Amino acid sequence: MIVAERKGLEEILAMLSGCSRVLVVGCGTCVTVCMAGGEKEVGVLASLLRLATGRDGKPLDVDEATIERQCEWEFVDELAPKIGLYDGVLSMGCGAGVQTIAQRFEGVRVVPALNTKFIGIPEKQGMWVEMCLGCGDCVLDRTGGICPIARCSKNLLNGPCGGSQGGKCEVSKDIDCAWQLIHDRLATLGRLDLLEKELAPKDWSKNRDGGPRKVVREEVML
Amino acid sequence: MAAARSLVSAGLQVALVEKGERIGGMAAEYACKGTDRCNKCNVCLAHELIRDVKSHPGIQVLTGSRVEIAEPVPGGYRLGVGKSEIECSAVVLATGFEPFDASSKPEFRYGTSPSVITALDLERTLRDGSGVEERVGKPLESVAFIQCVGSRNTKSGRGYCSRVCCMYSLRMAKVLRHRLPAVDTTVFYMDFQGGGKDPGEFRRKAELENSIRFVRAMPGDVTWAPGGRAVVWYEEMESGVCRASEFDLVVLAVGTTPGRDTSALAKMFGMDLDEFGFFKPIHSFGGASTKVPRVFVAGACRGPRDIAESVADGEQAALAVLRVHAAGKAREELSSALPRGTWPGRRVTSKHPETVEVASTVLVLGGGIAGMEAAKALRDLGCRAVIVESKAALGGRSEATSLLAGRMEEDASIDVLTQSRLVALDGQAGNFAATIQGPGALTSKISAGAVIIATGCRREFSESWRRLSGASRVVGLSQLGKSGPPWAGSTSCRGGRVVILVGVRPETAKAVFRQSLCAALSALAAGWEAYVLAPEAAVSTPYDEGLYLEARNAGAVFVKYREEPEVEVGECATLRVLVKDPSLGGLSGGASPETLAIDADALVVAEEAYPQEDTEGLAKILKVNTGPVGFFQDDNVNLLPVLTNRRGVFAVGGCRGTLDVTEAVSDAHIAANLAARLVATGKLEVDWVTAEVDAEKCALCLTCIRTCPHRAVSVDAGARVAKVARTACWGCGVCAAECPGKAITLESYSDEEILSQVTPAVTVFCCEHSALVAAEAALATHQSAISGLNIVTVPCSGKVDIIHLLKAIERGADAVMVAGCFDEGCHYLSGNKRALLRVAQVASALKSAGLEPERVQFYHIGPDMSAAFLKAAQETMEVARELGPVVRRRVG
Repeated sequence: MIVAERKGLEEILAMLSGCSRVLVVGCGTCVTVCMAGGEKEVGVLASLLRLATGRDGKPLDVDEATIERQCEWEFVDELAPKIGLYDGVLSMGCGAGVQTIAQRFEGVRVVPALNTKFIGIPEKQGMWVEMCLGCGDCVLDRTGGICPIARCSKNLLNGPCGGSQGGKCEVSKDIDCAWQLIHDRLATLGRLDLLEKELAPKDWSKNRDGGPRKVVREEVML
Repeated sequence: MAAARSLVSAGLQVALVEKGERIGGMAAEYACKGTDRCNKCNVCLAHELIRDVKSHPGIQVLTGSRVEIAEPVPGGYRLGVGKSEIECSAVVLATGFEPFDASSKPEFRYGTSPSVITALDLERTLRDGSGVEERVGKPLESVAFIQCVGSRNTKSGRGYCSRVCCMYSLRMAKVLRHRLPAVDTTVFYMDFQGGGKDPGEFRRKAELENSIRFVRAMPGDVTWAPGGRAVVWYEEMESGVCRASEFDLVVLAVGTTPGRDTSALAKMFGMDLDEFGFFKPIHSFGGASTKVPRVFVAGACRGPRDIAESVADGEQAALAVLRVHAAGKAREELSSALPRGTWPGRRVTSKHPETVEVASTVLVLGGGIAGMEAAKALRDLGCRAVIVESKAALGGRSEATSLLAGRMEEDASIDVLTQSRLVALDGQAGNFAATIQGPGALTSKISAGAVIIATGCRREFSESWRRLSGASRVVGLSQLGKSGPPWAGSTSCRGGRVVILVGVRPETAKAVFRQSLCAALSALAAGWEAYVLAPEAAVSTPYDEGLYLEARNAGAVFVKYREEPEVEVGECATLRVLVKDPSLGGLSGGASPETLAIDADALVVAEEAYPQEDTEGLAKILKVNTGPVGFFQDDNVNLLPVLTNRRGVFAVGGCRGTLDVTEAVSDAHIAANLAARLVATGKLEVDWVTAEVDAEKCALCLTCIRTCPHRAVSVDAGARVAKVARTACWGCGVCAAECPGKAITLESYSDEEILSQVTPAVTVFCCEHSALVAAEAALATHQSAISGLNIVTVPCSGKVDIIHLLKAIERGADAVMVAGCFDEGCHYLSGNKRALLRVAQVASALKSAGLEPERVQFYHIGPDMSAAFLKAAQETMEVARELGPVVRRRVG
């Protein structure tokens, strides 16, 4: 899932400066699950915006809406009847959601309430960790199901580096060394031999180096 | 009250005859001992019972009434109560006790000065909220508690321990230290009698964190110092030194004596009293039956009991009554003989009650004495019991159970699966699907409405003495019966010397001290010398105190150690026990006590109880919590004695803590009764409010499944959404408050319903189990002091959503308060912890919006703490006044 985190209220207020009527739009998919931008967070943020601006007696006019997925035209269309009433739309979706709304409603000022962080999992309730960089060329078969691209600070394909100490990464003691994890996992699987084969340099053109990416599948097109 | 509530829940009509003007007994006068956490005094249980009993139409409450005539009639009794007559099938005597009259011990000067009060006086003072210092009339620097006032005194005919005083004094001392952090607190005691789930830890914290000092002494006199302070004169039992210490307040821990009417009632019903004047049941240790058919006893009228034990007694007496009703009836007839009543104790019942078909089979895990007793009681109440035992035969650790085990095998309503264990449990209360693995790894499926965990405990030498296990001439206390004591058959004129070692944990001492005394007496009778080494003499029943006296008179030597004794195993397996005897230190004036070396011919070690090795695994399968020491069951008074965090799963006997056989059997009976109430008729009426998931909105984020304290939410595999099982839901609403998609609603407490009550006034969200009760009492007496306060009722403080708090402030409430139970005292186990997090979250959110975080507060309020509620409400209103409106008035 895509993991996001809400921006600070001050930053959000600054983005909305000059607006008098704002629609806060939540998304019912990834950001609901990671508790950053679902219906509840929409309610909380709307309340806080009203409270923060209302201190001096001029509360911002804030409405709330949550749609199933902000990254789908059909769902975003649900906003069409009322979006014209607002001079600002605060999207609580991920970056894809913000852009979908912006692209769909030309001339509407759409600003992000969240920082989209990564593709990850909840390691436990309330803690999310990065798992995948979307590099476009998966090597998990050779690394015991642990991604060196996303989880090694240096994206090393043939690690570990000299900064691996006691199973931890030199960047922070809170980060496990991905290559230590890979080694331990392959040992459990009895496949340490995989480490003897060097992984060839990565073709980063499948990642961002090839420019913005696109997946096209003729067979499912209409 | 507990018996009445249990009986009415089973569908019987109950008349409750109370001589006083109100129900509730002594417990209703006690104070909640919560500090920043629940201290497990159980007083709230009494308040909840009062509420349940008062509100249930099936209970006829006759206050100001006495039973004057009792006439046996066929099938029961005819009682003369005042001018009316009551025909009943059975009588439960639960007439309580009388606190010891402290003025009959003139040496303590009770009644002559406000500086000497009884524990009961202190209870009342703490309860009414007028400060202790106000009552004493001066600031308090030091307080003494004197234990055993009127207890453990053979000269006055009260040669028994009152069982409850050590713990209540310690709790009150904690409350005092909490309210007056500088006060120096001393407890004068003879032997510490632990109670509750983890008394060792409780005492350790009292000593270390609260700096409460324990002095082993029975003060002989209280005099006055110039300036009016009380002087306590005492001889330190350990050093033999006489001392006098000054205190601002002396609290006399008065004991339990038989109620005034006990002998008259005994005469009326033809019952026996014990040597101290308490009702005498047939079995001195357990069961509610007396020698008179259809007359049962429960609570402190049969001997000293704490609140939880009295409630358990009441439940047990209720079971005894139900068994009278069920006697001689076939299983099919039982459902009409024992119609099921409603569940009491809910303020709000569901508008959409639903009758759910349930399996009337109950799975009993473990075939020891608790499991077998549970199975027997289940059969009597119309359920089919399936005992799953991992060993090849039933019986557990107890020896006297083989007869019972034989009967189990023959009983048509009881199935026994030996060499079997539970490997998976799906479903919810009423309809569990259990997978049992039997001999040869064959698995079978069983549908069960409820599960009783009776897997017992593991008895082992404690870590300090583990190396002695299996050594020559060393035997475990619980093995004496099986292996025969070392002194058996000893014929020489000079017998040997046995040392009996009891470990440091008070709960172990409580469970095994009696057996240690029996072992000592048996050795002495065989001509041996007997030494008993224990940290305390745990003698909290009248029977134990008698045995202790007998052992001392017979020549047993007791050493109450502070540091665990050491055992040296010499060449040729000779045994030498080294123990520092504190009473041998003071005489020489030295600081360090002398070490006593005892050469022993045999060593008996009392084993400690530990959780069974597979406890964590089984807990995971059953989705139930474990608590202190890793035993089953959370440390939460609302679960006592046998509930777990999951409806329909009960924990009984040694698997939930260090219990003796009496307690294990009592547990088994109570759990059987509760399980039968749930499933015996094959139908369960769900009439309580539950949470419901809006499938459209559910993102299946799993938050509800993870946060539900009762594991009532699961994934509906077909619809790919979360689903709440109504039979398993306790109705706390924590899931609804946590759901990030706002997809869950608790009936009667939807956001709309809660927000419709939110006004511009200062708002208090009150947990209906604790703070609301206190709030109602506060409003009744001090309405004007908190007029204008807006009280919103929630089933649990964990139901309060961050949005409710923000909306209240948005609507003009200048301050908001959430009031819930103490830590570890939440009715729903962890709702109050969620609420604390929510309040902290709102405080920081307010700060980010430029508002004062003080505008939102959380308070722990017990149900009887109306004074604390009043104070908290006034503080919150003061915050609102001080900070003024959220919206700044524009100048000009």
